Parts: sequence; C-alpha cells; structure tokens
Amino acid sequence: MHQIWALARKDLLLLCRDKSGLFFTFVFPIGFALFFGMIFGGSGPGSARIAIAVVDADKSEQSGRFVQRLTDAEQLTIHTPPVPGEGGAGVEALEWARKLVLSRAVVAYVYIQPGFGKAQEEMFFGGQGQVQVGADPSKKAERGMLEGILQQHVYAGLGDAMAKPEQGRRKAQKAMEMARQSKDLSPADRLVFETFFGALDVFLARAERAGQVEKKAAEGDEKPSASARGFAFAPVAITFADVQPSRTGPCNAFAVSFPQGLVWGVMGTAMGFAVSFIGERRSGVFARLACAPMPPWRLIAGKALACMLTIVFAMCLMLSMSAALGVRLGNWPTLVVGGGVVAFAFVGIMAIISVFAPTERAATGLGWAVMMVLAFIGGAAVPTFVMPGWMQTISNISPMAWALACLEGGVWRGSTIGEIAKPLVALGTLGVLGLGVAVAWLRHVR
Amino acid sequence: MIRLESIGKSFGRVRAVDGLSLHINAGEVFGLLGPNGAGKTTTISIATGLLAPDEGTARVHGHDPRLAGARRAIGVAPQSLALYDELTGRENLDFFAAIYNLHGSERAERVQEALTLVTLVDRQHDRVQGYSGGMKRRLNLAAAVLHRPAVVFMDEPTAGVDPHARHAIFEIVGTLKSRGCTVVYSTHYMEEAERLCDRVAIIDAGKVLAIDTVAGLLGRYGGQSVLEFSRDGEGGRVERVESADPIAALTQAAAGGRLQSARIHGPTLESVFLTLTGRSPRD
Repeated sequence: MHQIWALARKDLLLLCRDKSGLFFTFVFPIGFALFFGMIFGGSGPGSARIAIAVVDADKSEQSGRFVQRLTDAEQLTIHTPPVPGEGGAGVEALEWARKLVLSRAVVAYVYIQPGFGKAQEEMFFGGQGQVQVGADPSKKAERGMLEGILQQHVYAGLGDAMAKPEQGRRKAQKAMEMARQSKDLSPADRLVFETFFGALDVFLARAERAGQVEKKAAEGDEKPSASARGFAFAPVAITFADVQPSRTGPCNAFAVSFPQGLVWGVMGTAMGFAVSFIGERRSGVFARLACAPMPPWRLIAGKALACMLTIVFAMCLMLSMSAALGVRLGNWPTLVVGGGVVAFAFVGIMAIISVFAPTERAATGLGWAVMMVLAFIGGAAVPTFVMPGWMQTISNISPMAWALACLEGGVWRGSTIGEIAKPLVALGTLGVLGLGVAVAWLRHVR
Repeated sequence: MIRLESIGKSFGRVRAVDGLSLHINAGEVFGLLGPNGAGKTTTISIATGLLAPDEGTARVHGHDPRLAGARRAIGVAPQSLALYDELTGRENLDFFAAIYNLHGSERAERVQEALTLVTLVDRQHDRVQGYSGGMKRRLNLAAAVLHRPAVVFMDEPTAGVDPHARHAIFEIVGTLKSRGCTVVYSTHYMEEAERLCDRVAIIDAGKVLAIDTVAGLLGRYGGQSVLEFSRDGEGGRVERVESADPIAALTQAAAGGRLQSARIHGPTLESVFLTLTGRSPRD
C-alpha cells in the first residue's frame, strides 16, 4: 500500500504543478457547466433575445401599436432609427436598417410599409398590411424564430380587434361601407357581405354591452347571465397556477449542465492521467519503476488511485458549486454510489488508453476523438431528446450515457440505486475490464 | 554475482543480442563497451529484468532478475533520464525511495546520503527542470543507489555531459566501488572504460567479442607500441617504429644521433576494437 500511495501522491503532486492539467481537470468542467447552464436557463446577460431593427414608415396608430407590441416582446431587442420625426421613417431609415443587418448588429430589420394602418382598418374587406423583413439568408434558425414571433404579434392585432368590440365594430362598419360602394361586386355578393358585416356589427355591439354587464357583475359580485356570457367574446381564458419544482424534474438549468460538466471533467482527468502514464512509459522513469521490487498491478493501482482521487475531488468541487447555484441534489446515496462507479469506470478507460496508445500525441488524438464521439452520442454535449430516434438507440451503448444516467439520477432525477442498476453494472464492468487488461498488458511486456 | 548465459533477443527482424554470455564478479566495475546499436542497452534491460530474453538465462544473485529477490539487489540508471522534471531533486529521490519500501527516518537518511554522494545538497529543493544536463545525470545516479543495491547498472551515464560533470560521475563510480558495490557500466567512450573498469566486455552486433581486464585486452589485441621520433639536423623528419618494447626502441634510436623529439603511443582500447572488428568504434 505504501508503494501505491507513493505513486498516487507523486501523480497528485505533478498535477498540482501542471497549470494546464489543473485547468482541464477543474476549471474547464465548471466553465462548461456554468456556460451551458446560463444559456439553457436564460439567466445570462442578454440571453435568448433576437436583435432587430424596426422602421415604421406608416406612422399610423395601428403601426404604432404593432411596434409597441414588438418592443414589449421578451424575445426581441428593438433598434429604431436614430433620425427623429418624419425622416426616421423614410428611405434613409430603411438604408440604416440594412446596414445594421449587414454589419450583424441585428439579425433582421422589420420595415412597416406605408398603408399598414389603413389596411388594418380594412382587414375584413381585402385590406392587407405590408411588412417587409430583411435578414441574412444564412441565418435560417433566427429567421424561423423571427417569423414565428412576428406572426404571433400580427395575430395579436387581430385578437385585439375581436377582444375589443368597439374596434371590431368600427372595422365591420368600414367593411360594410366598402362592400356597399364596391362596383366590382355582384348584387348577390354585395348582399352576402352586407348581411355578414351587419350581423358582425350587431354581434360586437351585444358583446360590448355584455362586457359592461360582466364588469358590473364582477364589481358587485353578481353572476352574469348566460346570455351575457355568450356575447362576451374571449376565445381563450388564461389563468396562472403556481408550479413547484418536482423530484422528477431539474430544479434549474444548472442541474442539467453540471452533470454534463462532470462527465467532461471526468473525461479530461482520465485523458490527462493516461497521457502522463504514456510519458512515463516513454521516458526512463518507467524502466526504473519496472525494475523496482513491485508487481505490475501496483503501477496501475497507483495511477488509478491518483486518477480516482482527482475525479472525486473534482466532483465534490462541482457539486458544491452547483449547490451554491441553487441545485438541490435529488438523492445523496445514488450520487455517492453513482459518482464512485463513474470515477472507477473512467479510471479503467484511462488504464486502457495509457497502455495501448504508443505516444502521448496518439493518446491525446485517439482518446479525445473516441471520447468526443461517445460524449456527443451519449448526451454529454447535446441532450439525447433532441436526437433522432436511431441516435437515441445508439446512445444507450455509450459510457457517457451511462455516466450521465448515474450522475443525473443523483443530482436531479432522484433515482434510487436500483433504478440506475443497469448503468452501474455496465460502468463497473468497464472499469474492471480496463484495469484488468492494463495489468495483463504490463505483465506481458515484462 | 551476475550470470548471463547464451542470451538472445530479437526485435522483429533485428537481432539485438545474439548468444551473449557474461559472468560479472561481485565488487568489480564491469564495462560494456561498444558502439551505438551494439546491444549494450538490450543486455542491461535483460540483466535488470526489464526484458525477457528470447533464449538463454539471466541470473542476478542466483535469481531471475524479474523476481523480487533480484530486484532489491539491483539499481538502475537508465540512459533516458528517469526523473520527473516538475518535482524537485529531493521530491524525486523521496518518491523513488518510497518505491523501494524505505520509510520514515531511514528514507530521509538515504535521500540525504544520495544527495551528498552526487553533491546536489545545495540544489535539492530546486525543480529538476532547472538543472543542467550534468546535474540531471548525477541525480539519475542518485536515484539508482538510494536503496544501497549490491549492483548498479549505469547505461551511458555520461551521455551529453560536459567534462566537469563527467569527472564528477567518475568520482561517484569510484565511491560506489570503494563501498563494495558492483557496477555495470555501459559506454561507447573507450577512455572511460580504460579509466574506470576492472574488466571490459567488447560488444558488437549483439555479440561479445572479448572479455578481459583492460591490460589483458591491450596485451592480447592492442598490437605493438609505436615510437615516433625526430633527430637534429634531419629537417624535422619524423620516423615511426612499431615495437613490443618501446623503451628498447627509444634507446636504440637515441644511439643513432641526438633526438629532437620522441613520443611513445601505447595500444588503446580503440586499437583493440579496430583489431577485433576491423573498424573504428566511431564508424
């Protein structure tokens, strides 16, 4: 045991003297977890907002309301032309917006063309407001998101028209007037339009009165009549209910990002120790150690102990930080057992790489290539639920997926040890196999 | 002490050691002399248990060197420096002492003793990456003798060091010999073998060409001494005479006229190597 501890102590001392090793073992995983936690949690500065430039060339009451809705939207950051007054809505303003898109200061511009307000007033009889969106064609994702947001706010305008009967009546009356005066309509079509808009006007008038009745009833704690409720036009009633974090869901984005960061940290540590072992193999140190009165398994055991201790320390550090960021750990025993088995499995992977890779460079290249692929298909970089079905099936055989299952089980899923038995057994087997193969190889070469 | 019997070792198609036999006695400084690629390092690797021979047997203290009984008696200073650059000199020695199961005050005492032997006490707390090449070589030797082994294998211990550091290493070898330690010293420098070794094995292409004391090798394979002289009044013309008795030849030359200059060149291990292989060890 003295020899194993001496080997482990030496490796820990070497790690403490290696700044880049310390960075990739402790700092990088924390940075990874914080970065992705902030991105997915939306708590970072300016997160989840699309910057757009808005040019209102119509300057009508309706276009003003549309701009106001965009300004109020949480998903958008609005830039308006700096030129005050009428000049801000002209050709110069459109050119200003184009330059902002070209310089990537904004994702797109929204140009509300003249006639937008008038078209809104005539929306029931052919009026169609024109809005031009200018965007970089390569930014398809942002364009898609922006289109959705704009549609949402365009239909919010229609909703306003129906939800506020006085506005709807005005538009219905305007449409009826236009239908009467239209020379293009046949008498039969004119009759249809007049009947429809007349009925709509009556309906909205009743709805306006029903709204007043409902308001009085609410103030007087009276129940509105069934007739009044029928005319109160409100297609969707939205109410809010308090939702508490449950045991089966992550309490915040860091609860998801920290297990992923842990997996990256464990991988980095395993790679670092593998590379250090190969360095010893290629230098005279290995010759001296191999000549010492010590069986080969102790050489591996010393390296494994140092690797294990480093992984456990990194895990404790990250879990402390996640707790400080509000992550409530789901199940301590699962986390302790799962974390220990994950560390053991990656020690096994470290041992295999360290004996089979011929050079440090080969180990770094091969190790990272394999681990990156396993990490990506295992969900350590991208959550598995966003993957296609076939890839989700493949991810089941990735040690990263098993590691994530164990760590997430302890951190936020609240899994019992029995519930993560399969990945525990798979990881434990991997660790035993890795260490066994490494010891057998060392015996063979001696 | 060390017996290698008809050992052979191949790496792929390369025959590194070919039927090599050596018997090294306790307490002697034994030289393995040969050019690069002669098989010296492979021989040492087999003798220290680092490699298993394809044929033949190796014994140290009567044990297979791969077994723990022999390993405790062996100290190794590999040709590649077996040190951790990021650790201090003392931390390196402390680690290797622990690997040889030295603990507590005994370990501290052995580390101090080794640092004193290689005169690195003043630099013991500096990281090895700041050491000169010679200091690293000395620390490499210190790590090999921490556990007071009966036999120390030194593989090219003076590779890449300056004359001052080389002299320091010679002194360390002398100290070890005076303590009764057996030293197996591998080198391709003839003058080092001549100066340090009690017996020398000349190796080439994985085979032992000759084993004897330096004087014995010189006597058997070194050829005759050469007398070079010039006389007054002969315009500096140098005459060259080969003779088994150079003093008698010098006396005879002096009888023929007043000598302006005279120099006797005795046989060297280089000439021994030349005789045995037909080429210079530097080829």
